[in-house]
Amino acid sequence: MSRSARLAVVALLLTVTLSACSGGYDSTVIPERPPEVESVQPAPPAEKCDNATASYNPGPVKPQPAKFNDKTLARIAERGRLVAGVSGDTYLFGSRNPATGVIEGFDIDVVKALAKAILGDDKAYELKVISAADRVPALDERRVDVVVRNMTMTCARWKQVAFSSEYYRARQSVLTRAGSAIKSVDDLAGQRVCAPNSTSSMDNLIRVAPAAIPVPAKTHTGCLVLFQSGKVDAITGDDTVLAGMAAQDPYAVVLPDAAFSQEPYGIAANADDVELIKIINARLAQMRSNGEWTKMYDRWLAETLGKAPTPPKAVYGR
Amino acid sequence: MSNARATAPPPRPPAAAQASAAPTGQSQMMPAGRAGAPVHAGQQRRREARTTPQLLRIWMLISVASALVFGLVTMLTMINTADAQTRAADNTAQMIRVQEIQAKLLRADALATNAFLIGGLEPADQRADYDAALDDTSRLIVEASQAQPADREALIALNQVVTDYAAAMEQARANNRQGLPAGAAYLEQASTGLRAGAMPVVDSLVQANESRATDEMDSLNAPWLVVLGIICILAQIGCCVWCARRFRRVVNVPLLISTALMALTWIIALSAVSSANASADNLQNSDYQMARNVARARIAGNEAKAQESLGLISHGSPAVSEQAWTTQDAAVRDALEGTGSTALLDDWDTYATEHRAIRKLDDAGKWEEAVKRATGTGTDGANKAFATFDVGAAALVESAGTSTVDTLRSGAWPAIVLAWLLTPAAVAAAVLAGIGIRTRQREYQP
Repeated sequence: MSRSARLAVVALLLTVTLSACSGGYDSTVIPERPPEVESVQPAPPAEKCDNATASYNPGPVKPQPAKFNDKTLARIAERGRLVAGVSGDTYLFGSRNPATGVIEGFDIDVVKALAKAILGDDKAYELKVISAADRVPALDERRVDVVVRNMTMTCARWKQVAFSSEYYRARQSVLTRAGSAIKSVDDLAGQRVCAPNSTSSMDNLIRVAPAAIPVPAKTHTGCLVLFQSGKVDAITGDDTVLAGMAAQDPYAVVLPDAAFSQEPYGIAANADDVELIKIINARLAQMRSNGEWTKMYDRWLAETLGKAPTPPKAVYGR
Repeated sequence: MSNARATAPPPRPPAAAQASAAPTGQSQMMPAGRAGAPVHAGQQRRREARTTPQLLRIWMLISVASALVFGLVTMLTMINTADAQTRAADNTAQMIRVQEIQAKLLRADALATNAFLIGGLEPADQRADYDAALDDTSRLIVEASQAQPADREALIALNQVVTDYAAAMEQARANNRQGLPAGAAYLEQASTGLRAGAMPVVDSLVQANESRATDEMDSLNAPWLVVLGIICILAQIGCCVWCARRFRRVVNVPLLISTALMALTWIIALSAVSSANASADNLQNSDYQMARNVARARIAGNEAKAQESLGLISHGSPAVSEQAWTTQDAAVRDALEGTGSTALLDDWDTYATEHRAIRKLDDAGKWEEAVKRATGTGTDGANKAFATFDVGAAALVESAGTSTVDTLRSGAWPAIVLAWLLTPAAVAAAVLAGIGIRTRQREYQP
């Protein structure tokens, strides 16, 4: 019996050990998080040419939608609205007003003017928010009729799209923190500088400040988020865009003397849509001459960028 | 001692004389068969006389030990059966908890993104729902880390992402209220971070607890008890048969009772295990499956609702979000298929119809109308339709989950009771076997 008692004790111990062991599981696997930062994608390499701003001669000022022979124009007329690819987060140019949910800005007023020119109704338009990297694909795939989204006219892009005459002249500059040691483009060496992917801003940054560490983002506002969370030291972009960002962050300043390139903006269409560009050019010419352009500038930009300059001069002959 | 006893056979008590009749008889027969070798016959007799008590001792050891080992294994099996059911219940509860975390997180994101469409002034009730969803998430993360130490590290990682998400969402709100477009970028950062950072961790948690629960349920069988039971009972029968033959008496009552007791214990223990196994199998095809799949449907549904808003926020470029919506729609239908919850599927269909109407408006360039329909909180509209689905799914997960956990927990009790009943029965079998053999051993004592 004493042997049985001993066995019982052993059994009890075994039981306790067994129960204790079986309750322990392997730790749950924590999946590795892929790195957040995208790879740097500059815009197509810059090509030297002297006619990047030259567009097609303007067409008729008052077209009649019913008589459009051009395929694209006929399609727009049939649809009854002009589809424009715009920015949804470039403050003052094209951004969603959080209070109303409506996208508004200088570029959007341009779209309205184009809708009026093509279809005779300034409400006959549809906005599609696209990223900078999506501008050319959206036109190629004909998801949009035009892109009015601070797009710089370059020779390389002329091979992919058709541009209108220049409708805005911007300069690429640098935004940094108030009191930062960065005072000029030369000071960007070794600093983390953000620019959206597939933009001429990114391209220029790599070219002009090769010692800077380029950090890509999807949009300029994405850069602002990185800037506010301390992940980048500066943002580079067109002064127009940077002014919009500085207006959102009291601790951000646009360096006044750091502009390092001229950025002529054009309205882009599919490379085949020459007729559409001609109508747009006619409308832009009208806006320059009748003061409409200046009114738009005053409405959106004068408060931040100062008094309206003379509208950029149109160059034709392509 | 044993030698001394064996070398002094007569005189014996009558019972002992009878008992030793067989061995004595055998040894007497042998010399008769080997006439002319009286010396060998004497040696043989001594050997025979030595052998029986020794064999009795060996049988005593085999019989008692096998009853005790059998008792030990029966006890362990019963305890393991109870433990496995309790652990399966705990793991199921934890699986439901982490699925709830996932659903709540996506619900919070769906609410935040939807409110974002409305504008800077967030509707108060939608804001309250968002806060409640995040509060629930935090509470559930704490509960889950207390419930399962193996999940702790993953839950810490998850908590970090949730904190980052909540912070980014607050910045999105602050910017949004001031009418600044940076708000949209913070919202996108928050939503993207949630999907990239939190969802893989929650998926891993769900998967780990799901396999822990099913592993425990699948472990409800006892092949070792089947084999060992057969060996031990056969050993006991062997002992009975040997005793019957050696002592020429068919029945040794204590030994027989011991054998019967072991067989009975064996049958009861195996039926208990098999009944627990059948109950777990049944659960895996009913309530457990229902809780798991409806929770999956709810998670996919909330992700779809968030993607609907993100598609509208992207304003004109909804392709990526719409593709995600379609994937989640299929996931909802796939998860609900086979659960028999047609009412829930109907609710989902109602919402899906609303969603398609929203997309049709947006695709036709009527973005404002699409937003109005997507954010409407009236009796109809996408939000109302979706809330009906979400509330219905949550209730179904709750009831099926509770039923699964309760069934598993209540199934553990019979096994514990049987462990207390069957172990003494096996010990009694060992004692009876000892008594039975001891009776025969006594017959050799002077």
